[in-house]
Amino acid sequence: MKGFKVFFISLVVLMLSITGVCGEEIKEEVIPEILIIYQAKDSNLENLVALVTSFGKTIEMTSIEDYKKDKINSFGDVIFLKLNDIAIENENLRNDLLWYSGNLLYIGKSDKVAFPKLSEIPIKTYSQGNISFKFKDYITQNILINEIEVINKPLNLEREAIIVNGESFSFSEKVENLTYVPYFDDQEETLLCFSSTLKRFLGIDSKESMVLIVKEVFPFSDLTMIKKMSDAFYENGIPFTLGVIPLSDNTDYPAMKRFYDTLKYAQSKNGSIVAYALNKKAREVSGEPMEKGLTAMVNNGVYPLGIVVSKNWILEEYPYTNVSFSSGIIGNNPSYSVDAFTKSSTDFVNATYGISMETLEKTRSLKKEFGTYSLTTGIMVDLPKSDEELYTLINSINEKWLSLTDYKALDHQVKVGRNEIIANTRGVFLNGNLLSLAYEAGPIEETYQYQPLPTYTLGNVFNTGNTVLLIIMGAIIIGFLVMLFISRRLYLKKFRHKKSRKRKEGDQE
Amino acid sequence: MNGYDYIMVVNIILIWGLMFINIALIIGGFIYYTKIEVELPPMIKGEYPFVSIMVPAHNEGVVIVKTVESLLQFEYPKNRYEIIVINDNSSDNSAQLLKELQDKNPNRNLKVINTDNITGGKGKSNALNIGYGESKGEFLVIYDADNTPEKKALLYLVAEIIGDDSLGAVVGKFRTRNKNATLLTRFINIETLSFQWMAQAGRWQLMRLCTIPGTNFIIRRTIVEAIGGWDVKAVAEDTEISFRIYLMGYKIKFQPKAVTWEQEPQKVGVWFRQRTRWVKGNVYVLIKNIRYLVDPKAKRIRFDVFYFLSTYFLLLSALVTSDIIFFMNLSGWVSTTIQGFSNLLWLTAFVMFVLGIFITLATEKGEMSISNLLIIGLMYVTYCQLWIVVTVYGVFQYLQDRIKKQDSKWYKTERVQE
Repeated sequence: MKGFKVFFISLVVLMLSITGVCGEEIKEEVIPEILIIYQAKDSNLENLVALVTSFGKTIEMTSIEDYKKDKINSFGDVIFLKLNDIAIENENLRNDLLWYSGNLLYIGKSDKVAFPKLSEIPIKTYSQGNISFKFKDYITQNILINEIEVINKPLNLEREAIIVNGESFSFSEKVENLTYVPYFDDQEETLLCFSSTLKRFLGIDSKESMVLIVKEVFPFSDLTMIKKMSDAFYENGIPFTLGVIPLSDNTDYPAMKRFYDTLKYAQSKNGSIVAYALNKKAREVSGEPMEKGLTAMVNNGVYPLGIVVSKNWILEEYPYTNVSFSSGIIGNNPSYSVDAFTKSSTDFVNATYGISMETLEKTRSLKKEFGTYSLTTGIMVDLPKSDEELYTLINSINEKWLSLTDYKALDHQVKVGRNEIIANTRGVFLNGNLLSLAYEAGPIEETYQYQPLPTYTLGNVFNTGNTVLLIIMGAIIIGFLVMLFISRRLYLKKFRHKKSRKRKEGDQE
Repeated sequence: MNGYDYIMVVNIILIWGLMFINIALIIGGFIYYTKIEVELPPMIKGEYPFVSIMVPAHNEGVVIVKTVESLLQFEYPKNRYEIIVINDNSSDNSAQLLKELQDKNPNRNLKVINTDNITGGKGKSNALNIGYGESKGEFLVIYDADNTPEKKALLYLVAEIIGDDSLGAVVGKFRTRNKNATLLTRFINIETLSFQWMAQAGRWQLMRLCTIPGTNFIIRRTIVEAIGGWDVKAVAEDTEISFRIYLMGYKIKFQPKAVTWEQEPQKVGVWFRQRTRWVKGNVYVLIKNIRYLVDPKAKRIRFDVFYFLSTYFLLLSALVTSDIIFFMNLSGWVSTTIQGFSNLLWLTAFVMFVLGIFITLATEKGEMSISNLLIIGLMYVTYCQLWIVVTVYGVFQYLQDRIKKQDSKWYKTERVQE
């Protein structure tokens, strides 16, 4: 019998473990395409990773210290980031670099010991200088920089250039398999210039787009402004995307219904919707209940086509279950935790690199039409707070002759529980069915003012009950005290008097 | 408001509702006691009826001699009552001790029936049926084997029942003989006094209802004949027979002047087993009679059925679920909008409990003391809480017996030498 019990328990444990194994989602393993060797975990590394990811490439990273022998040989493309003069002490790495024959992009201070081919590239140093960049058809504004190293070689006009104190130098130089970029910082202008070099290094020949993204929209945003903005963008032929924080609680509240109604209106005005999980607060809100929040959106006729994430988040463990996005917009926010870095990155088939409107304004196009940068960019703007802000934004877009793309037209695939949303040039599809995004006025009136639903609690009932019971209890206690007094008298009459009677009888005897 | 809120509201109504019922019973008991204290004790007018006193005993050698001796000393005509001791399958020296008692009192109606494991050993009800078969009395009086009744107890019981034809039985009061033995017996002493004040005197005053306590009661022979003796399946035979008397249209009266002293458990383990048996027995009776809750012909016992239902199921489940929800709410697993009652209210409830119980001790000599007041306070946080454990366990045991389709075992309370 005991043996049977042991067998039975073992069987149950075994079954549970098997179920556990079967229950785990079989995740397709992502094979990294690019190896990044870095010296320090900092914002430069974060920006580099964001750019590589924006080109749809997956990454594996290793620090110089942690580099293991022959690692480099598993990759056809390697990027080396070292922005200071500290010599490479890892002998394995030094040896492997000498014999590496794949594509190698070195960013940073010239290190001729580790990269002997750099001897062929003369370097000029400026202790200080006003620099700007020229890439594709763009020239950026001047910024003052200390200590700049540039490639002191005749400029290749077709390539990117760095202009120091009015003198132009090649932004990058290639010697055999080594591409060298001496200057790199975390300015968006630098990164945009670098993206052209990176694109060429990665051998990418895709068409780029530019989209407009309105950040951080949520139920208590100015919904009237969202509608007004949608109308204004629509009238001006500006396709736009709303970054919506998916909320999972109280989705049946009138405020939420009205919010969904507004988003549907924006969709009908050529607006697209993406889930917004960029800042820490938004991530906390949308972390666990992402599926619930997105499902509520879908159920209410709002169709998210991608997700806005932070730069360092792409290096973290993918946090959602039952939710997947093929498209991601990498936000232009500063990092909040470099410790979160892992070894491989989240891959987006369709990635968009977020930049600020200010950067765009600091960039001048040599052509009338602004055109597109070397990678697909998302211009990230706040929801206008006033009509004035709205029309200033529209004027900036128009004056720049921005050719914005409808985000829906880029290929997207979103899976939310059992729902699958697909968007492309043919339209938006939900579970294979083409959706009409035409707006039908919902049951919530325009003039409706949100009144929070009264929360029915038993608090008041209990307060009243408490008082009533206290009065009753008080009365009962008084009654009990009276009863006690009467009982005591009865008791004394019965026993003490009996005792004294007995004593009297004894005395008489 | 959510589902948990509604459950909590129902629980609170149940808990407070039952509390108010008990307050009403305390007041009823008070009225009855004040009335009876000034009344003269009942007296027999005319001929004394012949009475059979039955004492079921199983391994009661420790206490049986003292019990029978006290029965022999009743202030009642010696030729008008017989004592039948059913020595039920005892393995101790009870048979020998009883024989010695018979030899010492050759002229008294003292009958001893010794049974073995074939004829007896099947519980108290079976023993009483055996004794009843040998009895001759017009009235039957039952005493437990650990009782030492006062000399006039029999007289008062008989006088009360022959004075009113509507009475099917009369129950006397029982006191704790070993109340100073341990803290547990002190608790039991207070419990028995307050129980009799509320459940016996209070119910009699307000609803003309009483429950036979299992000892120190008199019952008409005609009733026992009519119901075919005691139900051998009933572990709480006293509650069972009370219901059957009500259903025949008779009343059961409480006469607190007929006093017996009994020995109560001195150890928690013994107490726990005894009370578990009571709970199981009462649950059996409740389930057997639950239909009377809606039977228009059974108005008289409706309150009792409801009272039992409330105590063993409604109050218990209310206490347990409200405690579970309270702790789940604290830990954040569930959310309720229920706000707890104020501390002041809980304090008044505690004061009321202590005062209410203290009142029930008022008429007993030497019980109205400061030490008892403190013990009542202590009971609230210890003894009363143990009740929940006993009830849960008893109900569980009953259900287990039903599932396994086995009869409940009769647990005999262990006695101690005093």
